[in-house]
Amino acid sequence: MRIEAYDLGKRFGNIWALRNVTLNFEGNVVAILGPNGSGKTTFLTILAGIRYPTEGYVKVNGFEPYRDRFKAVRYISFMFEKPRLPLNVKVKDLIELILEEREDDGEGRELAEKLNIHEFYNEKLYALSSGQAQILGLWVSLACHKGLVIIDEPFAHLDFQRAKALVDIIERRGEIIFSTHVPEEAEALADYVIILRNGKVQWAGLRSELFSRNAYRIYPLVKKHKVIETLRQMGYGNIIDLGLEILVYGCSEEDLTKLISKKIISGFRMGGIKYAYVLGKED
Amino acid sequence: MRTSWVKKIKYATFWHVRYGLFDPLTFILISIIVLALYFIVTSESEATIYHNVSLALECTLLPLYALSSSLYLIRDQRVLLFEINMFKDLRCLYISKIISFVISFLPLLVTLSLIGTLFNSSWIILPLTVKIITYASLFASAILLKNTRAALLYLATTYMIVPLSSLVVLTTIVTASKQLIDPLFSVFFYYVSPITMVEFSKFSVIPLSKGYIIALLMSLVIISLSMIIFERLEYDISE
Repeated sequence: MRIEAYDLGKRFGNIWALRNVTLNFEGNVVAILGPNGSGKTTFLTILAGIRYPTEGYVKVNGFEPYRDRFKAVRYISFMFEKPRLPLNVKVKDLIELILEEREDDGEGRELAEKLNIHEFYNEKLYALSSGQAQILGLWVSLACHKGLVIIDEPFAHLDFQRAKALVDIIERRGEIIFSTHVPEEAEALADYVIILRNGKVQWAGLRSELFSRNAYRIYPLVKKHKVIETLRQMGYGNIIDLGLEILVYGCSEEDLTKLISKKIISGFRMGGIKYAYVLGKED
Repeated sequence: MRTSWVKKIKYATFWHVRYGLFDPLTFILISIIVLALYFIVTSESEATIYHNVSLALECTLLPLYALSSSLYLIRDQRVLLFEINMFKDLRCLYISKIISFVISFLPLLVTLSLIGTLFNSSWIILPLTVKIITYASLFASAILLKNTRAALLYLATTYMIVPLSSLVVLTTIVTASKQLIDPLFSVFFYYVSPITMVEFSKFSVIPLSKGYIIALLMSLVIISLSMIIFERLEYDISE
């Protein structure tokens, strides 16, 4: 899919939820990463065509979704967080109705099995837990749909088995834009990452670009201050204490491997996304 | 994979009608309305029958029935967004809501028509049909509010309070000033109180049949305009 945004902004009253968003990229799985209140959901709702921007524009595969609503509704499926519905309808009846209406050739039913929906097949919609409602919302968005899928915080209420199934689906399917506040989710799934903070793009680019930096997340085995001290002695000054882990920039893998063999740290991993997310700037 | 719009409307209408419209409360309301009409047409004198049908049906019982149907079909924006995502067609979803609303009146219309025909009051069928269409137009505009509480306030006013006020105003105009109701007011009254206008049409400069045609045309215009607006609305997911 191709996304092109120019000076995109959305204001609610006096508050700009999104401002000066300019992007132009092609991606298969796109993650919009940011803390709560960063404008992720607002951006997604404009991309889905259900909200109008206050200024600027965004095009999805060449069309502005909020202007060409008919096309947008058909081409873009969406699921926003907290999809709990006060409806007196059984999950089974909803699924059967959708399968019939979308003329399912077996794909929708297979997806329902993968997501383990049969576990709550006879429940009514109003009685579903957050996780069950989320799974059902995902199914409604993905089943028999060939176009773009927009998902707000897809892993928020999922247990690990369903999260695993969803990862498989996202990896196989593509053409998905999802939001998250967890860098690991963006890191694991997206080929293009947009980091938002206070309604502005903090960083945007290919995941490979973030991985190509020498930023690492390291996991201490001894007291944290000792690890930081050792890193400083090795000549690394760009160190951020993240609580359970330490982020270090401009470091070599060889030096970190040495720290493992000295039993100072238990391991490390590439942390370009976390670095951009935490620092709020590119470098 | 692309489903035709007729098929989409069919499934969306089925979704609305099958899962909620005809609950036990609906049938209790139908029974009460039918009983009310039965008592009026069998025990009232000719002179008061129109007035009492208007008071009992147009100002009290029908609005309650219309409210119960409307409020099922106008949910919060999360449900609306879910339905948009489910059927993937804004226009089909809108039309299906209007059709479902009209369908919800069919059992009532059939039963009241039967009672009217059996007890020499078949005149009720035409105003009742016009009333349902004007209700549908008010319902169509209420969909745009995207909120059950706002819709309740708007519909309680337009379904119940406006017809009740119209009855009072019309009675006052006719008894106190004995003047003919001017065209603009007549159109308004034919639209908001078609059943009441059966009694007052002789005081209007617009005859009953023309008044009904105008009310139907107005309803169609409102339904069409509401559809255009519905397709352009902005939706809020934070509700």
